[in-house]
Order: sequence, then C-alpha cells, then structure tokens
Amino acid sequence: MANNANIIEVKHLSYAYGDDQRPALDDVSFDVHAGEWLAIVGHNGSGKSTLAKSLDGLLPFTKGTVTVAGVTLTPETVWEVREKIGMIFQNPDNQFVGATVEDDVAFGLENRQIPRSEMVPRVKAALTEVGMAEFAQREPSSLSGGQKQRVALAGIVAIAPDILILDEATSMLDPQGRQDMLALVRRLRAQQALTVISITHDIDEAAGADRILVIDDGQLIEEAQPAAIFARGERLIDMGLDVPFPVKLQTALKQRGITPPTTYQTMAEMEEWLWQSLSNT
Amino acid sequence: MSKFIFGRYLPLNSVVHRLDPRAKLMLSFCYIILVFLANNPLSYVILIALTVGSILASKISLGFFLRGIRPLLWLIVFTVVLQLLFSPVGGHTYFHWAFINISQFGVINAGYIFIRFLLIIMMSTLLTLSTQPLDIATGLASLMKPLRWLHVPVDTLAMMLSIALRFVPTLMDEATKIMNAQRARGVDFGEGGLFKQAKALIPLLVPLFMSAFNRAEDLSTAMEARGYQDSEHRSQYRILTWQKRDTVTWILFLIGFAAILACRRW
Repeated sequence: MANNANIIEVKHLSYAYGDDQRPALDDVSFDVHAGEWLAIVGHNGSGKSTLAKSLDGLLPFTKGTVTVAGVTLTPETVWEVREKIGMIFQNPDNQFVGATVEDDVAFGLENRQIPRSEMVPRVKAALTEVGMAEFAQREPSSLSGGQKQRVALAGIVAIAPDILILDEATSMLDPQGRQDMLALVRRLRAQQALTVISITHDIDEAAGADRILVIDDGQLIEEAQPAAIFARGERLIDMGLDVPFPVKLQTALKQRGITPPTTYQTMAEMEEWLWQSLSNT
Repeated sequence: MSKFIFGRYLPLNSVVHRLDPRAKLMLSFCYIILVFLANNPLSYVILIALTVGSILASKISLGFFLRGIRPLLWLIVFTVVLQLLFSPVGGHTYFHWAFINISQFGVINAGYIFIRFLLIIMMSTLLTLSTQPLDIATGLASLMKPLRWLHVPVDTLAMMLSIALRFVPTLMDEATKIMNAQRARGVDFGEGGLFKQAKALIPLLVPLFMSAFNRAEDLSTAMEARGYQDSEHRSQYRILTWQKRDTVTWILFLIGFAAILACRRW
C-alpha cells in the first residue's frame, strides 16, 4: 500500500447509546493515512472513545460506513477487520485476560488458532520487544500499571496488525510509565510500519502525532497539525487536552486566595508543600 | 506483590510439585474413594504409609498440614463424638444410659472416622499446597474434556475458571482499598453485633460489585477486540505434558491401592 493511501475511511458515522436522543457520534467523516500517527482529542463524553470502538466494530453504529484496509465493516466482516486492528484500553487491569504475562500475550494468538509450536517463539519475541521477557511467568497482580500496558502492547506485537488504537491507554499511568509507553509505541511504529490512532488527553501524546482531530459533542470540529493546535494556548483546555495536574492545582489554589510556589512543581513537591502549609496553620 | 495466596500454594521444588496436575487430581480422587473402602487396621496402615510417603516427598513441613486441620477441628470432633455415642450395639458395651450407648463397635468406628478425616484433609491439603491454582484449573479442564461429547461447554468453563482465578487478587486489592476509604469515613468493620457487622459490609459490597461489573464489561470488550469469538475454536498455549515421573507415581499408588483392596475385609 502506498504511503499516503487511506487505511481507514470513515463516512457520515453516527451512533446513539440506547434510547439516548442526543447522538454520541453525529455525522463524523475522516480518513486515516497509512503509516501516520493520528491523535483524537476531546472532553470526557465528547464521543472519542465511542469513535474508537466503532472503528473496531465493538459498537454497532447506526449510520455511516467504516472501511478498514479496503474492507467495509459489516457484521459479517467484523472479525476480518479486527484482525487488522490492535486496541489498547485505558484500564491496565481490565484488559489482562491471561493468568500470567505469557498467557496474556498468547491470548490473541490462541483466538487465531495459531499452532503452539509457532506461538511459543512469537510470544517470546513480542515480550523481548517490549522489554518484559524476564516477567513471562509473573502474575498480573505483581506488575505495575505501566508494565501491564507493555504486556498489552506485546499481545498486539505478537499479532502484528496494521493499525494500533490507543484508547486513552496512558491515562492511568504515572508520568514515567506514560513516557516509556509512548517511546515504545514510537519505536514499534518505526519498525513495523504501524498506523497509530491515539485517543488522548495527554498533551505530550498529542504533540507527537502527525495530525490531530478535535471532537466535541459527537462532532468533528477541527482537524489540524499539532503546531497549529498548540498555538491556541489556554484554549487547549477547552478542547479537552490536559494541562499537567500540578499546574491545574496551582491555578485552582490561586483562585481561592492561597499562594502556592510560583515555579513549576512536580506532584511530590506539591504534596510536600501542601502538607507543610497544612501543619503550619 | 500479591498479599493473598489462593489455595495456599507453597512454592517448593519437589517431585510432588513437579507432577502433572492431572496425575495429582486423579490420584487424589481415587485415594479418597479408597479411604472409604478401607475397613480394617492393615488397609489403614497402607493408606497412612502412602500419605506419609507423599508428604515426605513434597518437602513441606508438617506444620502446614496441621494448620489445614484446625478449621475443620470442630467438625471432626462432632462427627467422632456422634459416632461414639450413637453407634448400633455391637461387641462389648462399655457404657449404657437411655439412648446413649458406647460400645466396642462404636469406639472402633469412631477411630476409623477420625483417621479417614485426617487422611483426606492431609491429602487434599497436599494437593493445594503443591499445585498452583492455575494448574489445578488447567488440569481439571483437561480431565473434563470427554464431557464435550455430552455438550458440556468445557472450554468455556475452563476460560471462566481461569479468569476468576486471575481476578481474585485484583478484587482483593480493591476490597482493601474500599475498606480503607470507608474506614476513613467512619465505618467500623468487624465491630458490634452480628447485625451491625453485616450492615457495615454494605458500603463495602456495593462499590465492589459496581466495580466488578464495570471490569467485566471492559474485559469482554478487550477480549472481543483481541479476536475472542468462542472458547472452542482456539489453540492452546498452556499445555500439560505427562512425564515419566507421573507414570512412576501412578504405578506406586496403584500398587498401594491394590494392596488396600486385597487387605480389606470383604
């Protein structure tokens, strides 16, 4: 497939939950180019996760068409489409199916009825790829959130799909885990010619994208390069992108007439400062 | 780290630990049947020898087995006393008052019941101490495979069991977190009368159930996204391999079982 061909085409997609009158997605159309990194940003409840799930056939949309790598998504082709897409979700615990790390990586392969002789080397290679090979026998309860997300990524590496969808996959991780995860996705993307769609609140994750879609109230309201979007400053918050938490906290404290330190503080520093000012009063 | 050890698995490197879980499950099952078939001193001696031999081979200290007996102590005492007092008349009668009758027959029966209890608890404790819960699940699933012919959804059951085991520590952690959060709001767990204690569980159980349902929904979405359609058309990553030591163990036990059947009073 040529580099700028469209790997996903979405036309007039609409979706409503249950008897909800207001649609969660309202006539959304866009293309995803093969090999690009597309970020989708928006507030909580803007419909961005609904959009991600629609692409994978996890929600039966009411109107519109989705075409993935030339296959139009219908109830008959849904498994064919899922072959091409790997998804990582928000909560690291709730997508860990296997009893141990290696069992979890093998889960997708088992579903595809890959013979065991082929599974074993693929699981091992995938775990080595994400730096989790030494944890193969571990149980999920002994892993950190970041490690569990890396295992989820290994599960996708093992299957080698064309498209990776990160559905707020880094939002429950600590800053270090988030950076590691993104660095890993960048490396995999370079190696395996992956198309990445990341649904995010994280400003760093969005900044690394080739293109950003902004969704609000179920509608696609903006499509631009990251540079053009980041030039908006304060308005980023309106679009649903997160300013780092300590900065938010500082602003909120100032509004209430409390003067926190004015320089940038890490979470730990802010916590320390809060404890101290509490014990002084 | 996991604070909760399900089934109290004790990781050691012994022959018993390395045995195929299917071998251990089937042997434990046959053993329990044999325990009920044994009915004279010699057959019990052989059973005790098999049990002590297995325990020694597992390298697990006896203390763990005694701890396994403790929660069942009252049940054992109760059953033994019942057997002692209300056995049918037989042999020499030591004591008789109204409907209470302690006879030679009753004493012997009570002794047998006591030994049976002890042996079964020892052996099943050995099974759980030396086998990981996941391996027990895999072994059970493998042994139940013939039930497929009766249209029992064996693979789905195995998947359910494995997911349930995998989420035990997750939900335990969550319960601890919720309890701490509710304690911080003034809930007293484990204090007051029975009614009060039961009432204190509501602020724990409601959020725990809510979260479990959310997790279930997330998990099923993730499983579908990873291509899970049904449990039957899947290949298996985790497999069990029958080793020579499994065959050897089986032969040893079969000899023991045959000896018990030969010695038993028919």
